[in-house]
Amino acid sequence: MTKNLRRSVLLAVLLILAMVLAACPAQPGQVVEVEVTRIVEGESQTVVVTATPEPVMPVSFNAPRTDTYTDISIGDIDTMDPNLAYDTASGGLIMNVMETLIWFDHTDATSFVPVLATEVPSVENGGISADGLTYTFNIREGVTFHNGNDLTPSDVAYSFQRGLLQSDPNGPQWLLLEPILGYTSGDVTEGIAEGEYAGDPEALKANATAEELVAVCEKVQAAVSADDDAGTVTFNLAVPWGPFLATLTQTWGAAMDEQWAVENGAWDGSCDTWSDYYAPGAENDELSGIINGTGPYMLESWTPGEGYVLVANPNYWRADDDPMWEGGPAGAPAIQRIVRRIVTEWGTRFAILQAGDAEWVNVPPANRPQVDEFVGETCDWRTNECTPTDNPDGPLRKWGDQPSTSRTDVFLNFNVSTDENGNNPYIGSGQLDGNGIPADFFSDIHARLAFNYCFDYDTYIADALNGDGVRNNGPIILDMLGYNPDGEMYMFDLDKCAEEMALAWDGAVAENGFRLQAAYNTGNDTRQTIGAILQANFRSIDPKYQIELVGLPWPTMLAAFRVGQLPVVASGWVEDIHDPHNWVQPFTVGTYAGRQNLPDDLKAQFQELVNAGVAASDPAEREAIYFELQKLHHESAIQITGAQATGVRYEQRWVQGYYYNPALFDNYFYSFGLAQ
Amino acid sequence: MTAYILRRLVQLPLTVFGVTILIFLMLQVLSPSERAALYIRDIPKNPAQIDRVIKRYGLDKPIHIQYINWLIGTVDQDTGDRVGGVLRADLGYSRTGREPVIDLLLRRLPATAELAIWSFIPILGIGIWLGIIAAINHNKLIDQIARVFSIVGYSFPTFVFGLLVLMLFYAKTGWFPPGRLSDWAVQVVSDPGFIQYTSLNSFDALLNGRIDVFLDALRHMFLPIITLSYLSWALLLRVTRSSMLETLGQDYIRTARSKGVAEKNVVNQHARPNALIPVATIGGLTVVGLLNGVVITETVFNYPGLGSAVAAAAVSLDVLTVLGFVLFNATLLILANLIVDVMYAFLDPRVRLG
Amino acid sequence: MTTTTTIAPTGRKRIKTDDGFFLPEPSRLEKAVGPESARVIRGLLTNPLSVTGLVVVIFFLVVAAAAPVLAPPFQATADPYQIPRDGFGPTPQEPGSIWKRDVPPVPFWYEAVTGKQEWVHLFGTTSGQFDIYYGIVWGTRTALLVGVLVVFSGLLIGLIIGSISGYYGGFTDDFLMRITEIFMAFPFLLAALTLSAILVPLFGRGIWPSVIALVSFGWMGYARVIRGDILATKERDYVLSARTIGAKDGKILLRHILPNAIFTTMVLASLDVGAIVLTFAALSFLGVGTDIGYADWGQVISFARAYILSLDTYWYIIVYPGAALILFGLGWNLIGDGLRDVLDPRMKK
Repeated sequence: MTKNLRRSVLLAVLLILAMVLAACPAQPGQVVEVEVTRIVEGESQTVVVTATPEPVMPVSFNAPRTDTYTDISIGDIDTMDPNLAYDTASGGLIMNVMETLIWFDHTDATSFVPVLATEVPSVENGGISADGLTYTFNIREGVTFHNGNDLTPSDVAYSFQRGLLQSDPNGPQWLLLEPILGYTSGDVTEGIAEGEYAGDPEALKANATAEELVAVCEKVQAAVSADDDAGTVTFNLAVPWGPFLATLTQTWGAAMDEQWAVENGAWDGSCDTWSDYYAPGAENDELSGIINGTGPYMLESWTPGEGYVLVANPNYWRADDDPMWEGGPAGAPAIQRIVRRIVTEWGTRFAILQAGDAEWVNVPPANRPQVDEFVGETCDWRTNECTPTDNPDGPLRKWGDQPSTSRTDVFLNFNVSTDENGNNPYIGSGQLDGNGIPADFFSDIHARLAFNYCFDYDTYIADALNGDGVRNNGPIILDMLGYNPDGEMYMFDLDKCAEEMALAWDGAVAENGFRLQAAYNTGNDTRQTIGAILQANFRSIDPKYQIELVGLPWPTMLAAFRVGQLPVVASGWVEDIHDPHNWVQPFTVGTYAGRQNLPDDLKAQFQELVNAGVAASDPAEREAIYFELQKLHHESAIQITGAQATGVRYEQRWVQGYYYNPALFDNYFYSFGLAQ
Repeated sequence: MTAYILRRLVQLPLTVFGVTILIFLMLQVLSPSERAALYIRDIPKNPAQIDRVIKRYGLDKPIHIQYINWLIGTVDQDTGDRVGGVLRADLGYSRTGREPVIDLLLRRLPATAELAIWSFIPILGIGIWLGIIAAINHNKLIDQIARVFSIVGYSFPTFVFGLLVLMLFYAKTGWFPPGRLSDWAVQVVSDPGFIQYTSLNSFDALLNGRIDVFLDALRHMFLPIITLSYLSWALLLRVTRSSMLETLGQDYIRTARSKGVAEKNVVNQHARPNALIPVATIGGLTVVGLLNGVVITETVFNYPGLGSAVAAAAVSLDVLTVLGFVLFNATLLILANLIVDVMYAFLDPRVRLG
Repeated sequence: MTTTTTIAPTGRKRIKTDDGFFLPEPSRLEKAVGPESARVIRGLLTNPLSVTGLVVVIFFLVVAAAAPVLAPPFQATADPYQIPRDGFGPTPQEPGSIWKRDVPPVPFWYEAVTGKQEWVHLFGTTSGQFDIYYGIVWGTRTALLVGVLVVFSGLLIGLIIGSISGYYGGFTDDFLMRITEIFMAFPFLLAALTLSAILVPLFGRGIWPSVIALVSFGWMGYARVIRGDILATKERDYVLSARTIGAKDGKILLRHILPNAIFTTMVLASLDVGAIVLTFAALSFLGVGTDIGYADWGQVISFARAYILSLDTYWYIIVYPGAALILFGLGWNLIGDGLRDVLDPRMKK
């Protein structure tokens, strides 16, 4: 016994030692000679040092893995089908593997460069008709997919037709359906039985007639058509649409290979069969787990829940003398392998970053102070200039102050829904007796103004956003067309808040106080903090002003939101396309406004401005309309407009070629390189 | 004995059937729009989306229809074919795993199995050894130390212990990284030249003669093994100790001692074999207990096994994935019980003869 | 605790029983709780390990009872189980930092003990500026409530099912044991996780979903043990004789069988109180337990996750709540261990 035991203990110790030793040396490929780049008066020269490195040596930042870029993220992709993908993780994969007709011009989110089209259509070059209803693209020749097939205009048209007819409830197609077919419900079957079967493929196939189904398909084919002889694809819009080019320039506008898709079981392009492929969900979608594009990278492998690997496309079509934009990437991609791994635990990601085992890891805002200690230089994405920090040898580079395209706001419900007995769990007694609020509490402008004055914007930015945020004065975000830099905004002012509360409901609120529940979905710290700030400020004015914070699990939140029960709710919006319409529409007439129960006359005023804004093509004209809309938004105080978070990127200092464009879902690796 | 085994095997599907009904009943407390939350991540951008998702996934259908669909599948209206259904070996699609449940389980099983197999060695070896040592030295210092050690192990929250060893042995030293394999080793393993005999990386590495991959796999499993072991030792130590104490107090041991048999032989040849009978029971159940332990351990160490996948699924109300795992687990549990019983009969002549 | 001196077993008178035997006169404790329980209590109070356990558990009981005095809530109207926050920033503050925002009333003993007037974060703050000291003090209540409630409810269910099953046997036994097996086919943690996740939308975040889930899947062990004990006990002479004189089933069960079968389950139960609290904390860690800011040790400790690599600076965010959790588990385990030693027939003198 004891002898055996001693032997096994010895063995265990040896095994552990071996593992530790295996951990100590660097990965394979270690060299004895150390190559050091020395900068001598602006001239660089490479010397080979064979002896042990000198004690004082400039820190060099060379990639330890010369051909691989590793990044560690937190979310897996949902699907690789560009028609179905509607999350940033999937978008990040698709945008590196597939290509769209046009793409963003470097850091500019509103101007475009041609990719699969030979030029960006405009009214001047005849690509856009004078009435703004017809868009024509000339498709580039000589482009091949990763499987070797040639790209044709029919491939492009097929891609869009397939997407529109697929119309999955969780997909992005509603963004295209509105301009192309004029459907606002987000479903291609809107025309059949008033959308009775929307989202339900079985019911659609069982109830809709063959004629109705064919008619829908033909309508789609008429709206998006290809002429292979002329080499063009034409879109016939239902309504003039200012942001149409921006809408196409996302992953749902990517071109797929029709022949390959059909071979893999996807829709064959026939109007008789499309309903079999309608609203499939990722689980039934033939193209969810495979991808074939024209882009600079090809998918090597995807392991669900663990990550994916991309490899450079050796036959990429772009020539060496044809940069994507001036000074942009050209020819074959510089990095051979892109490894994306998913690690949900922050501590683990941080350890990997510190070990230098990844070029980039996802850093949540709350953890930025921890990472800042390792930053050696900070760079400005607008000018590309970098300045060293107090710790110039720090291994990381920080790109700060990137205005994100998301914002969290507080929505005030003008008339919450109640059950048949007039009850609603979130409004207490339902009366102004100090123990609740009436269902239409926020129909009084003074109540809404008080909430706007009682929100401590600076504390919110400093604490909840860690200082990385900037206030907006209306639905439209900073630096976007239609943002009014001189627009008014409400300032944190407890006195004014108290004044407005005294005026609300003819003084009944001030007399009896109020009690309501502010909801947030649990796990979302930002939304909880917003509620806590409002709660503390109202309490400091008068203890009778009671806001209770309720953390709702996501399912409850979704259900309560659906029926419009929540009087005060903090929620975030992330834009789909970089255009003011994608902000004003949901905030004043769409998703949020609908759940806020805005009175009809106010909603009509907004609707008129929103429609005018999206139809106008002249930027100056659009700007004027949006200025007016935001003025109305400010005066009616329908929401508390929060702050636009600013993003920060930390990367290893050997990474080259990163640039920031607010409209991009993820990194565009084609422009990246690794310092050798 | 054969009849007994057969009876137990017949009971297996019945129990599993009960398990699935129980889960579907639990689900009934949620409304369709609450169940839609699995498919919708945030406030929907298009207001009609929630209703369309409810219809798309039939969330408003009565629970028994959903159950029958899950059990025997649905009929495709065009072709008349029956699609899906557990009885047709289709466990459905895992929303959180983003692949069919059966694929998810099969792909993740080797990682967990590997972890469990390697954990088994220190758990049984050291747990039983400590128990015997404690019993032999009853009420001496070493006994008290072992007991306190086991009680502390029993009182330590898994995730705290895991995070602490992660900090000490990875963040501070870089010795034992989280995950399952290093990137370079993943490339070796996924190379066509590397034959995957078992899908258990450590064993495959040995069979392929890649000691470096073997060490890498073990290096990644080291901390999870330590965590799982430390927390399991407590129970084993207790059972072994009290069982050993009981045996040592019995007449035939006293007789052996009085006959002048050396104390070492009394322990090794007379007491230990009998004392280990109840330990075998506990040992068998430890396998199943490990499946419990891996839920947290795998989450902490980012180890891509069944535990972490199922934990993520349960939190997101991904019922199909949880059901699939429970089916698997129930089968395993019942089989493990069966094996333990058979072992018991084998070890204990009294049971065999009776 | 002060009663220990009164149970000294020496020098007692003997009394004659009805059937002519002489027994020692019962002590006051034996008179109060019966001879078997008295032996158990005496055993517990003489074993150093179980005494340590008792001291630890009593310490937690005192802390829980005195929570409003030890850590006064911010406002009388506020929910005391919501940990007050000093701001919203992510970086933890070290122990002894001055409280700046929403300062709760300073407890009366504070100035007398420390000589200072300003209320500080005694144990520092977590990320999000929740006060750790407050969270631990009020979390003691959560832990005791959850531990005792879950174990007691599980015990009750197990008792009912186990005794019915064991006493009646036959089809009833078969049926109930199959049900028990179905519940046991779930891995405990995963079952609790799933049921909590389903119940959370119904009850909201808080202790109830987890408590119900832990009870639902925590009774099977008791049921089996009680059934086994009853099977062993019911063939004993006194039960058989009670039956022959025509006593009713319920009476036999309650009077004669259960009191003898219950002790083994008590050992299990006391060990489980500690384990349940750990599982409850694990549920919070996995994201289905209490909401952020609820006074629960698991909740407080999960804040440490993000700072695991910087623990040499921020040690206090894991050390204090971790110590509370371990100590709590230790206390109940020591009691359970001691109890088993006392009940073990081999230890009977």
